[in-house]
Amino acid sequence: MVLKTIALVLYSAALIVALAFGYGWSFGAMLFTINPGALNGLQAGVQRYLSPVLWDSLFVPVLLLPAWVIPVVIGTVFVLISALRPGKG
Amino acid sequence: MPIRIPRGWEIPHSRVTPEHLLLGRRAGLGLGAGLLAAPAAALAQGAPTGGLPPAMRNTRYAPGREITDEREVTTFNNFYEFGSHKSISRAAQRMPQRPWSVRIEGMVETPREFGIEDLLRFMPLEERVYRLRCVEAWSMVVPWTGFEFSALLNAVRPLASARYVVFETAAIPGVMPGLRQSWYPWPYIEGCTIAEAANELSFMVVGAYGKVLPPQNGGPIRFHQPWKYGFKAGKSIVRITLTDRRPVSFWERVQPQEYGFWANVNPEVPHPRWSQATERVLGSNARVPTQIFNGYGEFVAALYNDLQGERLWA
Repeated sequence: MVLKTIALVLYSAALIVALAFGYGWSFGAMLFTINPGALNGLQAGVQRYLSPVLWDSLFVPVLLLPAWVIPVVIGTVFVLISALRPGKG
Repeated sequence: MPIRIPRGWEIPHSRVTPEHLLLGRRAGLGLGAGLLAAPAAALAQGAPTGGLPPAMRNTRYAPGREITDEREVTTFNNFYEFGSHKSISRAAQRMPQRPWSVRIEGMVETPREFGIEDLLRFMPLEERVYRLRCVEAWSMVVPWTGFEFSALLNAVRPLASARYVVFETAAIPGVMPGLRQSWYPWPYIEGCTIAEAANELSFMVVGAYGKVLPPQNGGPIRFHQPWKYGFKAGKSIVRITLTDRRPVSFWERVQPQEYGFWANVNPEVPHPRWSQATERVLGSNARVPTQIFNGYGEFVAALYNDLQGERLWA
């Protein structure tokens, strides 16, 4: 029940984000709006101390996804976990 | 009796290069030895210039340190359009350098667009060895070839109402991977006051180490004010706008608490996340004390005498 509740909250958040900021508003743009320094710091950390390729090939594509997609994906993961655990959730 | 303290670059009249030699320096290149021996100047020479006309070194701005190895300067680069790491030199080679033009517009009597070849041919090129102090607490010493920014101002004649100069870097999505990050406020914008831009140290750079400026260093044309942190110097410039409104620069939009409009070098004002008291000299790994205005205070300190309530050091 808890997992499904969390999923419902995430789906609701996705809907609110999509309605408030548009379906095309990217996850990166959302993070940048919330805290530009943190996103900038994350980029610097990944590119300088891990790998520039990792940033370009993994982080950027995720950050370019529409912002509403991220809570939907996470919410769906919770729903699937809940479904795979009979008697719980 | 007034006491006059000479500036560090001033030399006795007896050592000044004769006017006829200075004005005829291009023709004089072919004459060779006599001009090469002029005490106040040395010719940039050696490796092929890649199309950069020869330029005399202006020794008024002696850096007081050894010139940084060219390989260090051309392989350790900040150019955010290509990434926030330093190894962008290879990726930057994809940026086309020709044709290239710079448009100067806004509050000027005569807006103009200059092709890079015309700037190379007609501007009064000289070589200046400047220190460059990055806000990240490292530094280097580079022999830049270029011309005083005031030469461009003279060409377009600013209106009296113009107070600021805005520099816009090229934004070429096909070759600059950083532009995919659409949340950043591209294009890269930087700016300064028109008084700062007209200062004798403000330099439009078209070459380094006697060669055309490589793309990773901001080629084919960039700006440089050696008393400010390096991020203030726009690279690969395509547009210069004179305006009466103070611009909000790229980094000022991204992290205003860390990067401001003025960004003058000051060892006593730390960055929010690190000290600015010393700097690592690129290539040597030695740490040396940072100087206020990066050591160029005698040329620029007066620009800020009447400014109150401004964050001059961030």
